[in-house]
Amino acid sequence: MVLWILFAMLAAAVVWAVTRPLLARSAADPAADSELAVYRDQLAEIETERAQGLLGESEAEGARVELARRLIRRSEEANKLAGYGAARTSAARKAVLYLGSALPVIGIAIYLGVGSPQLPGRPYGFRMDVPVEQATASDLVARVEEHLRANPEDGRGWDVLAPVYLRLGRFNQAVDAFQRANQLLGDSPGRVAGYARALIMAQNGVVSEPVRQAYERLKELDPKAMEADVWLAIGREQDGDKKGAEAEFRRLLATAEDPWKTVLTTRLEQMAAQQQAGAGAAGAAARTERAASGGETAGPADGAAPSATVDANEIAALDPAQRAQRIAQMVQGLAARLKENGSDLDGWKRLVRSYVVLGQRNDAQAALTDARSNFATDRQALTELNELAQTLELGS
Amino acid sequence: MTRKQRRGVLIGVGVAVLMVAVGLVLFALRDAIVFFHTPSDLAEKPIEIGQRFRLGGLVAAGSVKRGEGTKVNFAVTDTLETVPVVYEGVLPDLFREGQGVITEGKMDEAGTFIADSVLAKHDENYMPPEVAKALEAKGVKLGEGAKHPENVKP
Amino acid sequence: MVVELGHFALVLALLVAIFQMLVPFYGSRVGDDRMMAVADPAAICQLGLLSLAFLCLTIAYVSSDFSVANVVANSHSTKPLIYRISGVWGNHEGSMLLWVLILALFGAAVAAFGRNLPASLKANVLSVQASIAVAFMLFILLTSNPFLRLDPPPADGNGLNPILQDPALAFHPPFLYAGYVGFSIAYSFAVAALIDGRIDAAWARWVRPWTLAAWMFLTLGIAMGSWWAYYELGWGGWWFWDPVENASFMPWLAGTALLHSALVMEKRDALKVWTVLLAILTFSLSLMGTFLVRSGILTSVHAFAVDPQRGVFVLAIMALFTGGGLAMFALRASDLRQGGIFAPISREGSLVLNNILLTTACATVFIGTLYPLALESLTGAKISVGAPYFDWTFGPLMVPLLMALPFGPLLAWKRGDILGAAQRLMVALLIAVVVMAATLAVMQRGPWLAPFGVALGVFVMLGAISEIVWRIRLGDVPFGDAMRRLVNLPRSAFGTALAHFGVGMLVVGVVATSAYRQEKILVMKAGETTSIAGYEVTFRGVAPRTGPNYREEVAMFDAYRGGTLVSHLEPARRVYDMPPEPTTEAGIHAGWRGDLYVVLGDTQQAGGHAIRIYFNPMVRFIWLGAVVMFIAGAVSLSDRRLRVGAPGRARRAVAAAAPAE
Repeated sequence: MVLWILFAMLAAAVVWAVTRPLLARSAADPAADSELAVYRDQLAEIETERAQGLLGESEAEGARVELARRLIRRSEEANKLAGYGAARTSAARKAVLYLGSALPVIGIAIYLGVGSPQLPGRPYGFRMDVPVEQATASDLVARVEEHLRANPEDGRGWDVLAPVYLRLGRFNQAVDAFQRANQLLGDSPGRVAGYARALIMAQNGVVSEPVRQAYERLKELDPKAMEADVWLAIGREQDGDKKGAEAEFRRLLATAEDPWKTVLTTRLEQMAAQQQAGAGAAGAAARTERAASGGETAGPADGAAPSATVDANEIAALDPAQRAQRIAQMVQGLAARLKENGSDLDGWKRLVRSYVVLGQRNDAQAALTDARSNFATDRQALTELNELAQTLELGS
Repeated sequence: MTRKQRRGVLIGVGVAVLMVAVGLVLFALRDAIVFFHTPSDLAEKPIEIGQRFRLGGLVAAGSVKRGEGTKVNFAVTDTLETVPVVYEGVLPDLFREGQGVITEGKMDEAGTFIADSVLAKHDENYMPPEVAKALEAKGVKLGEGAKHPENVKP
Repeated sequence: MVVELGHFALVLALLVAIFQMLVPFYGSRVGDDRMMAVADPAAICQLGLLSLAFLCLTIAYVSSDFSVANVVANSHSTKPLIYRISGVWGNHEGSMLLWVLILALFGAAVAAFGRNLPASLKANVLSVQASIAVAFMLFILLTSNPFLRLDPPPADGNGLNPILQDPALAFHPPFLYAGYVGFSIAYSFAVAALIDGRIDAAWARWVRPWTLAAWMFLTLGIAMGSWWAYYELGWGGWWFWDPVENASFMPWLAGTALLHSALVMEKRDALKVWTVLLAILTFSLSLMGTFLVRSGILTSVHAFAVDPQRGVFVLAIMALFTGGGLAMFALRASDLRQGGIFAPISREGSLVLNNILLTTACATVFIGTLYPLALESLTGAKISVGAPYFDWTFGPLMVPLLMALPFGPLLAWKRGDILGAAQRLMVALLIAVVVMAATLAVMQRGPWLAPFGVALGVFVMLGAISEIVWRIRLGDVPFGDAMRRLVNLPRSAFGTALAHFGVGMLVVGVVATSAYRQEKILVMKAGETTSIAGYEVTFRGVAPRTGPNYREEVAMFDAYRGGTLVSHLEPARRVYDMPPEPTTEAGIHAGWRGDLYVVLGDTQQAGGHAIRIYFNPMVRFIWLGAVVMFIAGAVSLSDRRLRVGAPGRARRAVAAAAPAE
């Protein structure tokens, strides 16, 4: 309501200001002789400069003569123009008056088309005061962040926030949060693994030196961590040690259970196919990888998720036609799985993103609608889906 | 001098300056411009050794090798063809594997591109427009996926 | 709520601008002074509404209101306050809002200060001004609305591009825009004069201060951009002939020419047609600058609006105003009466030479900037036109301009005495030759044209001083008399001399730093020392450090000169939290001799860091020269004679609606 009162005041002020001259009595044109005034002014300047000795006597005389000539010419023209403003056009003026008064109406009409008057502002500071029940997920994240900015030594806070970041796809922040939690609370298998995952996601699936160190550490803490072995092997493959990686995959496969078993099997199939195809299309790796992980911001919230990134690596190794086919297959598989069991929120999000990445916006839209109907009762999930829709610019 | 002559002098000076300028522009446009090529352009039509040009594309994944001192070896690819590049100097901030890059320099006999400048200028998609255009012309689509995941615009 | 108020204010501003475009123009056609009088309050209203809109957006940024899409895209809650404010115009949408705000500011200033303008001229000027505002406000509302909302709001924003988080760049766009947009006044006056079909010396007197103000801001804006590029991009270069830099440089060249031709028109009533054409072209080049930057068709760090729809819209605006202005010119220019006559060797003649050289130089920059685009669209070949092109074309054109520059102010109007002028410049010339010989003797290395360039700069600086000395007849008359004359000298004379002095400084800086820069690229380990340009630079090692929204790796260097510590340098490699992008911060020791410039590169596998060290001689002269030019403009503007209108009339203060900060 306050908003509309402010709008009305603003509009009234504008109408008053722009129509006032139309209603005012016509004053004598104050500017009629203003140009002549400029010439007189210039004449006076010449006089002062001459008096101060800055201008020679003859130069001053010449300038005066020239100015005088211009002055006379102007006054002649001004005389001719006298009466120019005499015409009175009251009908037109009335029309203009109505037009001026109508400005706010047109303004409101346009504004309603583009504006969102129903939305309240949500300044960052204000979010801290929203009651917990009404707060959105992002409000809560913001609140924890605010708390941690004030108390950066609160390891538990970082520990809580880190997996949330990872799930939200804010990988770099997740890396940072895991790192801080590890420093403050000491290493734990879960945190070290989370750190490594976040780092892999942040680096588009590349197993870099810090990742390797993290997994080595994880193996010290938990020698049975299959995740560490698998990623270290993938790291070897990325480093070009295909033989070693293959041997390692085979060794791991002997003891592996799902999800790692599937990952390892596809990995090995892939390597075999790649050897046949020769080392083509390697250059496309980075970009496709990024494409895949860009569509994969849902992130590995549990141990099973890295498979997506492994897929990315496999796909990178294919030639373009095969690659497209493989991606399409994957997406179809995911869609089929979700049709049977619709309770996997992350799966839905991944599917929507994949469609967008593939440029199939209609399918993305349809998937989004399906997802929404699956989570019709889950407020939290709906909010997340809305956020996703917003991020991908899908209509809701 | 009459009014006409005076004006003639001014116009003469103007025309003379213009002629000089046109001469300079033509000369400079012949000698001082550099062409932009992608690795597959080079495969189709090799550039003669010693000719300066710009080579643009993506930094091939896994290709960056830091050598002695400030020497860096990497490869520029447009996903179809790849050209090895040697550069001596400090790489720009946004130089990363898989990201767009423009290098300027000459080819040597061995088919290596000797770069004397490396630009990793970027727009929001981390992709120099020249590179993006060239890649798209080659049928490489840069969709949403080409963006860095952190940087997807809402 | 604040955001919606701003949105409504923007919509209302558009309508007021439409009203201001139509009514006063119609009024001046039918001779109705009340309708013409609508222009004043409308212009001031427009400023008020746009200030409100801008203020509301700023509040949204400062309070980190992430329900606004634009804030989400370009801000972050941890960003320091100054960058939250500068973030308002650090993005496409906000910067366009700033554009129209400044446009409205200039329009309102004409309304407020132009009380003495002939009613019909003023109505037409404000009407044309409003038409530009309408075009750009439509552009904002249809393609780049900064007030769009998000529901629900995300947790935090995406942050501002780290290289834009910098004090110099924070205020670079407002100055640049004040320059670009300021030329719109010259354009509006030109088109209004063409509509009326008459123009006189008084017209030039009204146009000149506005052009001067715009020119001042543009000068400073360009200098800030160049300074920023120098210390932020980590290449140690100060000008790259980047298309976006050229886009701001072309209006500057044309604007400088306009400033000088308007002088001829004011004093001598000559060059009318040319001045009007130049006014139209200058603003057209400003629009083109906006188009080149906003459409993102160029390779550039500035291209933050890669959106074809926007590009086409701005192209249409540019075509409309450039084409419209030139069409008016073609139709009406023959109505403008030719004015005073003068000999080729005269003050007017020298100003014409200035105009010829500046516009030709501007044309070469234009060709160099647009040739790659044209060639690509015609043949598909991709080329880049770099520094060598501009060195070959722009450079040679500047040489005669700079040689002739000191002569100009010493020549009399109508008919000048070039030998007399040369006599007065004898001292300056001799000193310049000595400087040339000294430079040659000290440097003893190429490029061999450099000493000539330095001497040319010195000649221009001393020529400016000679002009003042001659004007007060120092040495001719008793010292006391000379001092009295100095005090009485009009401020615009000081302005001229100061501006030319600034040009000289700039030339010296440009030539010295381009020709005699020293560069070293090496790998250093902690404790190692290297020497460059008389400095001993010791690398002390690197240390991590945390800033408000970034973490960095800082390298510590100590620079010694003759055994004494002169500076502690801390170049750094920074990674911002949001968006996580790296930047390089150079360590710079600034001195009169030149700058020591150190950049930290990659960590080497074998240990140590890649380090680049530059010595850029006299590089500060470049920006100091620009600052001197800015001050010169202010001095000139404070001259009573340049102020608008006749003396003795009470002037009302600028409208209460102050620009929003």
